[in-house]
Amino acid sequence: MYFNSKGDVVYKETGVDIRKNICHRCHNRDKKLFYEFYSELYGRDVKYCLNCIGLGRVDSMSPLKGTETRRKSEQCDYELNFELTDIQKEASKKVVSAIRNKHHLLLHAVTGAGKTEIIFEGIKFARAHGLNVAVVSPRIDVVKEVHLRLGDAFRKSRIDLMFAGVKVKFEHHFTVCTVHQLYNFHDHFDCIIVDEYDAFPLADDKHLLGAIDKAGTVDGNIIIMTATPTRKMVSYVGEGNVFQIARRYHGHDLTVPVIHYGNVNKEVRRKRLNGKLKRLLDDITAADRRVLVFFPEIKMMYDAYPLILKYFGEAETVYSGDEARYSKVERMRAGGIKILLTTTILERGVTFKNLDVIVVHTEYFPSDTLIQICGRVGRKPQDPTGNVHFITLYNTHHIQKTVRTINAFNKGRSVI
Amino acid sequence: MICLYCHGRITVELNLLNLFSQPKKVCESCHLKLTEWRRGERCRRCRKIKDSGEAACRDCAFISRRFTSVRNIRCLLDYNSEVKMMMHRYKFVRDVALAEVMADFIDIKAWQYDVIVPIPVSDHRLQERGFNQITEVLKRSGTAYTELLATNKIQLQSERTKSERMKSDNPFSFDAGQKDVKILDKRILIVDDIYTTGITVHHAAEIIMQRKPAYIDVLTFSKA
Ligand SMILES: [Zn+2]
Ligand SMILES: [Zn+2]
Ligand SMILES: [Zn+2]
Repeated sequence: MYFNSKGDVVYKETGVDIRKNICHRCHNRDKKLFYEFYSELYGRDVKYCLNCIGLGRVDSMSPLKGTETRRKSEQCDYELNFELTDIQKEASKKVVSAIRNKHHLLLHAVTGAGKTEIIFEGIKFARAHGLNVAVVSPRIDVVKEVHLRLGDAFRKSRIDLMFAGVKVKFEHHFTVCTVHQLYNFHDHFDCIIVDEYDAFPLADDKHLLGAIDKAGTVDGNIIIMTATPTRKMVSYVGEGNVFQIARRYHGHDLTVPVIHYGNVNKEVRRKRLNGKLKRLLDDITAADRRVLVFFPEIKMMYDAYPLILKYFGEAETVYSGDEARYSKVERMRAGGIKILLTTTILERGVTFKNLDVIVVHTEYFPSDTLIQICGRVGRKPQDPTGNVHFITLYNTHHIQKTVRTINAFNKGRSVI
Repeated sequence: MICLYCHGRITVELNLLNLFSQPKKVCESCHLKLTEWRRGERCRRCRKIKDSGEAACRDCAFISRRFTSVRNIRCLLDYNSEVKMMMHRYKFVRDVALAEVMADFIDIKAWQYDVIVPIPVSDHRLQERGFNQITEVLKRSGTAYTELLATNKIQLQSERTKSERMKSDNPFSFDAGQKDVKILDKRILIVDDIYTTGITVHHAAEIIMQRKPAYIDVLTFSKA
């Protein structure tokens, strides 16, 4: 069932048990995470759950209502305008077989972009068999990105989307949401795919782990995608159900980023282009290579854009909601654009020859994003090593982690 | 102790300075986010951020033409994005615990006043929300107040346009049950949750003025 105020089934007379301190929606039993107050309106004490207050208040006065789970099979075709790599195809088969045979699966792979295509075939299979599917992540940005990508591919499907204040709801047969939103589901999803499982704060939040368990059906399966599996995760899915997208499939080392210090934005505001950035761009364009320049935010990118245009004559910008993003990417691939400023990580299917990368204000970026960015360069066999430059205000824990992870990967000690 | 805003744990190092102080309701980082004031030139009186080229505050100018202005206006928090979110959670998600957070920020200076008057909430709104968002905060700050006024207003402030609000008739009246409260020559404080254009509190003040108080001040939790 899934809980909602308009539901026709009363799941519990009251959502919170005032004496036993139990929230029937999120199963919170932590006394600290309830709030009790005297209500003048009701003339008595009211207790509600703080743990799931973000989804609307569940309290000791009102019933917890819901709608019974239904299943409906659907011919769920998708479009994909590039071919999966061999390793992606293999991973995709693993996903389908995990769903067919109802066992859990851990996909050990680089975070974020590119993993989404691996689950397309599995989603199609599940929906064709009438299974309810959820793709979830602890991170709102990942949820938005995944929804965009699934929406692009599954053009005809009605995909529910829920995070923070946003709710686009259909029948919850195919849902993309934050893990938090799963509190509203009970024994509903036959397949739950968790992206960026390791992202804060899921790994140490037992309530949210419980939410995934409770939202799934008893014989359903859970597919975990993570860059940093823990022993706990492996034992959860079972030793035999781990699939690694390992280094040997890339075939070469990842580029270790070179770190430079500077405050690009400060100089941009004074209408100057940072000297380091200018020299890097000079060298790259002189060598007739192409470059992606990552910015942490759109405003910063648009402020810097005219300055880069002034020095280098041509450049383009792209952001995640940019309608022209594909045509810009095509132009860059064809060699029409040498410098592309971006606030978004382009799809894994997108590979360029002779590509270098510069990250501006790297101090803003989390390590999983940086690792993905580093994975962007040197993907073509003809050009196995591009250069990666981080320009940062100061060294961060995330920059250090990125360098450590890449070094470990290159030494064969880990896979990403 | 948990932070009533982010529900994270509050760790307080006990020392001689905070040994006898009240425990905090929000953590350090939420405190910072909630107390931040957005940049911009503000009206000295109502704290509105002025538009560029707005010499004198248009809201205050309108108020002074239409009403007898109150003496002082105080606002506790800026209506920054975090405060906006908190207000939404408090009033619409009905997270009553946030009344404690606001009570923590509130600085009533109750000794300066004889009668403290919360802006009334309509019965309809009270039924729907289940609590009065202003008196819940006053209660938790240990402030004695008098529900001097009544209202029959149904529409939400946020559902109406500014000009609609400007034109509307006074929605307040003296509450029949509070006839004996002495107002003449008394020092009055009106308390509201959000100060937008100032129309609401000045409507309230207009009613109270009929009984000739010494002066009226206004305190609001946040300045929109
Ligand atoms: Zn709960
Ligand atoms: Zn907090
Ligand atoms: Zn003003």
